[in-house]
Amino acid sequence: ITHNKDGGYCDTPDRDPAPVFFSENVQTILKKITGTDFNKVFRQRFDEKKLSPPEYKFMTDEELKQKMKNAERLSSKILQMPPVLKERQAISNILSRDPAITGFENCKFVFTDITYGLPDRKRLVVVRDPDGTLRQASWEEAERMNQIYNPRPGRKLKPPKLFQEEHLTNVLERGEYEFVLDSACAQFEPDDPEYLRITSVVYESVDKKRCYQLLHSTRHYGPLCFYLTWNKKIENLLISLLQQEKLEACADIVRLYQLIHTDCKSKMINVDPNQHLELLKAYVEHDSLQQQQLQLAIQAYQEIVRERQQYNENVKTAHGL
Amino acid sequence: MMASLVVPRRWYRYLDTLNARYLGSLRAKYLNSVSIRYLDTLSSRYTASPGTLQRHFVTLVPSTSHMVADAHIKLRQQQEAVNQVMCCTPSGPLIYSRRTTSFFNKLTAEQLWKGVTSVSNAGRKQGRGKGVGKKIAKDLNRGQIIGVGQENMVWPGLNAPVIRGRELVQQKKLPKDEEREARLIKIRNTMGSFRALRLDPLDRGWCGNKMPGRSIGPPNPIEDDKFEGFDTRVLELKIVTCMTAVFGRKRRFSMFVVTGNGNGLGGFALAKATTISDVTRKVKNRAGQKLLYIERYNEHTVLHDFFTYFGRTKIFVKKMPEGYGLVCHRAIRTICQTLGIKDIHAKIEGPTNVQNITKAFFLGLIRQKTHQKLADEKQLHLVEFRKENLNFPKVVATPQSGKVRTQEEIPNNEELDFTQHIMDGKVQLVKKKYPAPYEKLPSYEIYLKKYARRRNHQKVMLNMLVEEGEYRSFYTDQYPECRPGYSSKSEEAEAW
Repeated sequence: ITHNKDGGYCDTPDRDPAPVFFSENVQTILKKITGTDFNKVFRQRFDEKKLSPPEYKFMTDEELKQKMKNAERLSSKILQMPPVLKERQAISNILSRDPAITGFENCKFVFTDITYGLPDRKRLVVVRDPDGTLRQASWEEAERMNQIYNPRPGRKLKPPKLFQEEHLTNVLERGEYEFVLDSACAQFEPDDPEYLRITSVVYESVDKKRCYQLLHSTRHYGPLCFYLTWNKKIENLLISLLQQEKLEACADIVRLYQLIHTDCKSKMINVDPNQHLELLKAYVEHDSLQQQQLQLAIQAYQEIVRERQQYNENVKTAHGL
Repeated sequence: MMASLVVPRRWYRYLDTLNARYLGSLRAKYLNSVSIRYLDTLSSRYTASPGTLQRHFVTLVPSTSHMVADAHIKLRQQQEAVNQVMCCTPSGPLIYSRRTTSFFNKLTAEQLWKGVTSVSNAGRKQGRGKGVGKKIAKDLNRGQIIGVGQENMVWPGLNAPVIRGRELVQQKKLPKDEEREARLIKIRNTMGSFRALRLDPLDRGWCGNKMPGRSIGPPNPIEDDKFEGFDTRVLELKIVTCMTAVFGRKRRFSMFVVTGNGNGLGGFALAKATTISDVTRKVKNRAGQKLLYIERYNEHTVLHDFFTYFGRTKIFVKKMPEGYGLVCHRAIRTICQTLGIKDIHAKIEGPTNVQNITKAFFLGLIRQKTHQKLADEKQLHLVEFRKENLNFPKVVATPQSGKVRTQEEIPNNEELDFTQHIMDGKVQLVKKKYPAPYEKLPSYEIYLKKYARRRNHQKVMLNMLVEEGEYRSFYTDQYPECRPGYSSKSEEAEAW
């Protein structure tokens, strides 16, 4: 299995990640591992808005529960994952050829349907080229027109310099992963090749630096894990989760791996789903590409657990219990 | 009887100005008949030593005939130089006598100065000795060291060590220090004049160069308690008078200060004394004795809005978020700075008597209810909603007993609204904000239409700098003079 230099969903270039991503099992796993740390989800964003003094309310238990439910609903909305799609194909839809009017003008004409209420993707945008062809506008032209007539907040006509290579690496070195991903979500559509390039660069950088915790409890954690699992690069993630002693998360990632790569060997083995460590070991034995490191990590974890148990027992005996 | 004689200058003036007309008045003013006769008998034998004329006491030296003429000329010149009125030339040579003691070394410095500078009680009542012409006693000890005097001598044990190396140091007369006199005179000339205080702007309070608003330092330490971190600020400094039987009008300073350590501890006090230094010391120590601890929310503001009053002074205090600042009366601002409150809004209604404001404010602060207390009072959860946290319900306090009332247990008429509960049912009158008078005029609409053209220019220019790197349009490439900062001279320079 070769890996493209820029990343991307290149394992099997034709395979569409969308149906897998949107399947119920995958979605539940991704939502589970994302986590909902309310302190992080509802933290103060520095958006230059004026602060106002806090409001206080006396509440009964039921009222409080109701408010919490509302907060959970809002948090699930905030943590809605940006979709993982295949790269879009270029549009080549010619509506008519009129070579008779070649040279009528030395610039293109763009016609946009500005009917109120149409979603951007359904809006018809056509271009009359100087050589007379009337064709449907390319993705870039259509997006530009949509942004001019119906500007979206946070999106610019010209993509910011942030997304250029040198600036991107600079920002990622500072660890501003969430900021870059949020900006990319605001600027591009999820099937835009630019978006896919940027996200894959960010995910690779996160994987390299092992800074998964920075994206934990954000809406980008799910797509990050999906990307890594799709490209079979989950070793570092598993090791870092083991070091944090999050066995269930490790098991979830392995299960995700099994769902995505349905032809994997470890699936054949019937392992009790509650035995997280067993599942992980099965993965390590059969499907892992960096067996030694993972095995070392598992051993280290087991050592720690054993030592802790020993220590507790010693304390108990010392106290005479 | 040929030694020099030291006499007060006014005696010498008498001797000098022997005008027939003047004599009578001078005589009456300064001297009695005995001293006049005495001086007359001495007048033939003495001349004034030239250098001593400007002093309070003139040294008369025995005169010889040839000296007399010179002395008279010199005297005249000197006196002209000091602008003294010369009525007539002295008649002849002057007196010859000397006393070893006089009132000069029998009285204390204070008494001597009092004699020269004081104003009588009657004069004081009429306002003399208060303004610009007030004479100030000068401390003649300044610039002088014990052991060093007019005679430049080495006194072992006093201004030199007794043993230097292996030798005993001897008493020795050194050559006279010429500049000592000049130095002392220079120092004494600078003293005594009243100059307006020049304060650093950072030390200023809210009252120009005067005390209110200024810091007077922490209270004096008492044994172990060093009052670390404390700062006292003057809120009010007044001169108060009362009539007494003995002295008449008795003038005292009254100072009202607030002290605090910037961390919730603070107190205020009032004290009176006759001098500024006394009253400062008294009041800050008193304030240090009367400390209160006030609760703050996140160490930057009050726990909740409240209303307080003392006398006729009413204050509405509002809790504010970080960065709001102290939007309140300058007295409240000073108090908050000393206590460590950084954000608050306070509106005073009624008189703004500083003492009443302070008392009202402190009353309100100590009557604040902590979140835990409120929750216990109401037997309900106290939940905080912040807009910047998307109104996430954050439970700030739950009843300590653990029992939270249910909806059925709460009576219908109970006040559940937090603000109403805190303000004890009072509602602050919020005046309606009316549009500005010009907004109704037709010219305003014209202005808005014109302004709409350039309303977004700043943002557009900023974006242009970000994206293009400069202010440009489609003309910029063709016509270089479109660029901002372009001048034809620079083009010529480039051409050269």
